[in-house]
Amino acid sequence: MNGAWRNVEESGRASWRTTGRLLRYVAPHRWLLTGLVTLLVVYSLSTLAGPWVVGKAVGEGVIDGSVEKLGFWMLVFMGAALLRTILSYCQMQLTTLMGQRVIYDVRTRLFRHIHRLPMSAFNKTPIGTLVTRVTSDVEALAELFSSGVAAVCQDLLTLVIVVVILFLVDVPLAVVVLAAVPLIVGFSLWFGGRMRKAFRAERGRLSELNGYQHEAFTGITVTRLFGREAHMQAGFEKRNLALRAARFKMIFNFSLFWPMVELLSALVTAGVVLVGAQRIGLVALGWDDFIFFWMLLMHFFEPLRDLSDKFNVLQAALAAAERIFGVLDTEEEEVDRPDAVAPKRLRGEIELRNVSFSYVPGEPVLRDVSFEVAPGETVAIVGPTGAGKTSIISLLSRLWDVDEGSVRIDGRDVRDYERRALRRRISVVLQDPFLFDGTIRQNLALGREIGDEELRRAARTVHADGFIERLDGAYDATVAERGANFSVGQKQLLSFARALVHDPDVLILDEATSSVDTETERLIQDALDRLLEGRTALVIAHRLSTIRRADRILVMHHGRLCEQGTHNELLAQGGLYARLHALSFGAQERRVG
Amino acid sequence: MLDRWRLILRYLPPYRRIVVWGFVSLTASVAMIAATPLCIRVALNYVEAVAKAGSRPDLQTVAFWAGAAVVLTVLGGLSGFFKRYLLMGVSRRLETDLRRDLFHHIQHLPRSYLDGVRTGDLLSRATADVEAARLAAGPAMMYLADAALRTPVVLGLMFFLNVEIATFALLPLGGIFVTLLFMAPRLKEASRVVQDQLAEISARAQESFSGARVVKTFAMEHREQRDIDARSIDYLHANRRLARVRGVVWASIGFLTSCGVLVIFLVGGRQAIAGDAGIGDLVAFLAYQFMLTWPMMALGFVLGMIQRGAAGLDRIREVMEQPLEVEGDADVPAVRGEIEIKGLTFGYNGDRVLSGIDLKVSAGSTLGIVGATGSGKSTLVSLLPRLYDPPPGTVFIDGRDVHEWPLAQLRAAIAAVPQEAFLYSRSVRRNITFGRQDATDDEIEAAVLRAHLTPDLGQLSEGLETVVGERGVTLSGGQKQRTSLARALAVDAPILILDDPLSAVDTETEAAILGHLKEFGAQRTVLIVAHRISAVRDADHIVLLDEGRIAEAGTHAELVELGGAYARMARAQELEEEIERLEP
Repeated sequence: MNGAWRNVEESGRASWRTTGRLLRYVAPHRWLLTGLVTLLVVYSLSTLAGPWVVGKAVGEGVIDGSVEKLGFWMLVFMGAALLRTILSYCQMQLTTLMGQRVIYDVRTRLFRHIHRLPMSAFNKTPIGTLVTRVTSDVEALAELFSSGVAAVCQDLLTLVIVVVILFLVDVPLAVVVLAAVPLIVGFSLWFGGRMRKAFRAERGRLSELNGYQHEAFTGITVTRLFGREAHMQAGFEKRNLALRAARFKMIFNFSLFWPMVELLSALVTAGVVLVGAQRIGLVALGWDDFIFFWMLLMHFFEPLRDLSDKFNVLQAALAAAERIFGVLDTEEEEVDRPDAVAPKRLRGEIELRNVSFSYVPGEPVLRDVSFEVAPGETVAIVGPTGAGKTSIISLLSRLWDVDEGSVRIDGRDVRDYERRALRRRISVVLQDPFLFDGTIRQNLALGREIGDEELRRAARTVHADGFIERLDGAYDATVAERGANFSVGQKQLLSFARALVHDPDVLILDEATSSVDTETERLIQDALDRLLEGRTALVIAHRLSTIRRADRILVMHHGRLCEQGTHNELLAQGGLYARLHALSFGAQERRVG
Repeated sequence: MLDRWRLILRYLPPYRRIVVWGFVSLTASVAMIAATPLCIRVALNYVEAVAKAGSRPDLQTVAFWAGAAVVLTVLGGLSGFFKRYLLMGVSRRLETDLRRDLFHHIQHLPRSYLDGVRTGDLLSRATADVEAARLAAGPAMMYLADAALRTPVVLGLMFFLNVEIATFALLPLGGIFVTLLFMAPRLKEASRVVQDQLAEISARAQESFSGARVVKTFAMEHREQRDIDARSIDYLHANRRLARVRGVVWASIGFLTSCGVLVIFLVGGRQAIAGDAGIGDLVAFLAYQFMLTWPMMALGFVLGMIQRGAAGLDRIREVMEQPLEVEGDADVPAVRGEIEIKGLTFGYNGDRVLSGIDLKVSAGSTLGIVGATGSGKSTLVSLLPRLYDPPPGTVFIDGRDVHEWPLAQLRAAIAAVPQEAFLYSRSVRRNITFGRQDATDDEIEAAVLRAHLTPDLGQLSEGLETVVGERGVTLSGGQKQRTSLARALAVDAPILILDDPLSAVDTETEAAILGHLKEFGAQRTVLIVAHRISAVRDADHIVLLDEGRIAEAGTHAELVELGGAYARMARAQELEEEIERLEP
């Protein structure tokens, strides 16, 4: 018994803080809440009106032998029942409305917050966990409103009213009933603790078994190669039986709980009959009061029985709320400086000055990199895998910030721009364009208001109009499963169109490595020419043709900038570029040639 | 074809005694519970009669009946406990047995079948569907039996006590039944919509968070927010719709229950005034009506449970009806390790992967296999341990068709490093000894050394005893690969298959491992699939696969001399190594 109480107390302190924060989400809906509380009070009273009226009907009607009185009181009873029915309906609607509004607020707020987290948070937290926060956890919170709080308040209210009435009606009978209250509450909480423990043990075993199965199915080839099927089966059976044992324990507890509660109620009922019989004999208590009592008892035990269940819901909801607040407490991306500027257009001058950068402290991916790009210039970055090419992109659009040195655009440090304004003027075309579920139009416009004609023109410019217009529904055709229905080349053209629609001043292109057929290749190259026209462009290049048409080539290796110049200059140097060229394009040129 | 219910009920015979006792308890509990109001009725009627007569009731008589009611309740509770404990227990036993056999079956399904299903799908059959089957075979049956027994008994008692009240009391009960029958589909539909909307929110959130990088770079947070707002609003409305339907159901049931009370007191009250019934009768009827409300309400969801159980069992049956891997012939001599492939053409689902392969690898020699991604290298080596079944008469070990070797013996003769380095979440030691549990510490040590895993073990907090995987430390790709290699090297098998085992290790480590392997492989037949020339350079024979055919074959020197694709690969790799060594 002590254990259960101590648990309650320990979690209590943290729970109060969480509850306090939750209340802040309820505050905007205080009128709803007021209405709801009023309704609860009226509803509880109407619940108790029934037994009282029936008592009257029995006392004044049946015992006194008056059919008229019986009819009258039963009419009143029906009125009360009708009222109660309507109230119960309204209460459910109001509870749902309030609960759903609160969780709507929580969910949208949470969602907004998650999108404001720095990139590092996304790399650290599995996406699945974030999704769980906005779905399951928010749902657990909803449960608090829809079944938890309202029900507990109503139950407690009913209980208090019943006790008061009991004392008003007949003190000795009330004492009999009241004596049972701590017994039942104590029992329910103590047993609830036991059941929770058994339940938790069962959940633990279940997740262990499921984990084992998941692993066994995933590793089935290894199991076979090493002939260990019997071993895996034995491991499974051990866990299977452990789960069964945990479940037997749970069933035992669950099976015991109801009979015990029944027993307690039976004892109280018997007490009422005994005491009542005696007092009716003494004529202190009329039949009307006795029947009133009797029917009150039915309502009396109900709330006590599932007190433990409600307690569970409350705890689960508070735990979920804590996890949600945990995410909300994670710091957002650094806010823009107060004097940050929001340029309408950029000239497109880029400068990296002694930039060093690392994702993980102590493992630098860029070391002391400096270079400049003039407005309108196209610069290609080449280098082996892991040279730090992609990191440069992330720094320019401020997904990350430098450790040392500075990244400047139009002579101003990128940290002095408003983040979103800056990102609007810089388009990033990724290797594998991330396509959202939605229409082609939505995927190109990405939430901006783009006219039909503008959309078509952009698609036409980069040769994406051909295949888009062949799709069923053309620009309104849906993109399924992240664009699984498009070829590599088509996706590339789509991402070009997407960039063009946004008419950026600076274009950053991470070229796809996968090969495409020659016809598509020709289309892509031509589209690229049009896309780059009149813009500053930084291209992580993989195609020889792209590299050749660049004004300048930067060669990266191990996080450093080690060579730069035009294609011919660099080839003549016979350094890293020359070797990379031989490695990557030796075969390409041979095949073409 | 297995009957779906037989699938789970066939485990019942050993537990039939428990079931019998469970039903005995159930019968007893119904009897006791139904008898309790009778005692109260007698007590109250007695008090009423005595009070009317104007004398004091005899407390002993009242105490006797009240006591009887308590005793009956206790007995009813006790039998109710046994009913639940025994019957629910049996359903858990059935579930455990079914799950065991399902697991066993899945463990032995052929790869060709497993490739066609998602792991998540198999898992959901082994979890959710098994649970659905249990709910149908356990709780649903218990509630059904309870309702089937309770309803006639209670109704019988009601009619026995008072035909008129009983007749009228049936009306609201019928009303509850009809309401639920009528509202159940609406309730189901409304909650389905809620579930769908939630699933949509979940899918949207998943996508939106996965695309966080794009969302940020295109500054499209507002669009994402608008989208989730709209869906959340839809969800809010769906929930309100569900609350409306639910509200109607609960309010109606509440109202009908009140109608029951009304009927009892109105009809019963008139009779009592006329002296045809006592107050005890009214109270007893109140209790009986209460007892019948539950079975009426339970019927709906019990039927749902049985339907879901049947659907679950059907999905389980689909898996259980799949034929298992075919075992080979009876005992045969030990494997020496000579491999021969004759005119092998093979594919999956009609896509040809290998065509016209002819190969001979003598016992104790090493074969290197190179080629582009998708050229069929992995498929070729997976046919030897029969992960996939090659056509008969194409793949031979020691001159005997692989189909004629007992499966267990065939696989025991082959130690393999699969392309994907899968480790179980247990200690490194237990992963290494996975294929050979009786390996001594010295043998483990030797395997660790050959796989060049020693430096890594030094980094791990508990060395060999470090638990890896989901519930432990996450190893790097290279560490996983080398552990997987050590696992294969710990097995003393005549054939060693290495499917691109060194793709994630650096060149230096690769060189060290290759050195160890050369010595280890001297007595064994080794098949090594590789992307890098360095791994196959010293092989006795090398084949280059191109689109499922052997395009070039010979020793390293011969192939370089040939000046074809192999020679180009070799040249490219040299350049790559050169670049790697460059220090800017």
